[in-house]
Amino acid sequence: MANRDLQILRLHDGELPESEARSLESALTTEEAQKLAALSDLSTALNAGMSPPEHELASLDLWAELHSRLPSPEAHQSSAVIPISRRKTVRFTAVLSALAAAAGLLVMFRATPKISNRCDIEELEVAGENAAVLSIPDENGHDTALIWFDHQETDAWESL
Amino acid sequence: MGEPVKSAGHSTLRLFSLATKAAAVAAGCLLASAPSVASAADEQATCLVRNIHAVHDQRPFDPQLESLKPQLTRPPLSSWRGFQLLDKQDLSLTHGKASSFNVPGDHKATLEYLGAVEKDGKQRLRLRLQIHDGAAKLLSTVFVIDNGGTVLQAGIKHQNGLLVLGITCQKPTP
Repeated sequence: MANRDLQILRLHDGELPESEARSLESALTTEEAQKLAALSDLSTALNAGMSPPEHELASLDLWAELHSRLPSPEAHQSSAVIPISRRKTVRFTAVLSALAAAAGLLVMFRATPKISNRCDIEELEVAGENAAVLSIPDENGHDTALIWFDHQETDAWESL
Repeated sequence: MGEPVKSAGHSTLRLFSLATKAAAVAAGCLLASAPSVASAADEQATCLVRNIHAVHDQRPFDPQLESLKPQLTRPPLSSWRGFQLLDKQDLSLTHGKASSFNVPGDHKATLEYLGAVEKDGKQRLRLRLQIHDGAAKLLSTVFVIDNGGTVLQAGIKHQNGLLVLGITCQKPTP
């Protein structure tokens, strides 16, 4: 771009000092004056296209437009985020499950007697009402049978 | 009249009869002697009967009961905290004959050896235990234990505690 054209652009944009601007305006040729007029027309046309009228700006509501394009609250609820109350329930259920599993293991492995239905005791008659055959495990895993029957000293014993 | 002539068939019958009788006697002797040899080892058993007093008070564990400690310190007997050996009796049992032993509290008990049983290649002993209170029979049971095995019996109250019988039986070693 020629230096003269650059001066005309700066004149149009109002970037030249006032004395220099008047000096340049008085020295413009016809062609240069037409360039300046064309720049002014272009500038006016651009301003008219880019800037809406005042009455349109007054009725412009950007938030309404943005809000209408935001995701709805229902979409948030259906997301993978677990509400705090549900998380508590899940945690409680997990604790219960763990306790149940631990109780099952305890029942399975604890060294408590179990009712024996082995054939070691072939006959059993007692004078009381209650009798039981229990199996007591030792540390080697061997069972010892325990024949238990309730004996109350105040009972009136009956002969079998 | 001449003497009656013994037919050859009659003599044969007599010989056959004698032979049959001899065979029967021999078989009888064999049958009689074989079981006696086989059952000689089966007719005997020895048992150790321990009368144990279990109490709720905490007491030092009786060292004489060390062999039964695993059983006495596990439920349900672990509800009692003190165990004391009151007495122990050695019994020599003969097949089919009940041997008596004392149970504290004026009770009487008998133990009878009913024979050996073999199961899974292991020799076991069948016994009958009876506990009496005077003329009344309190308990009668027949059980089978391994040779050298132990059975426990409990439930009789005794001096603010409980009586536990520990019976260990085995066949005498040849």
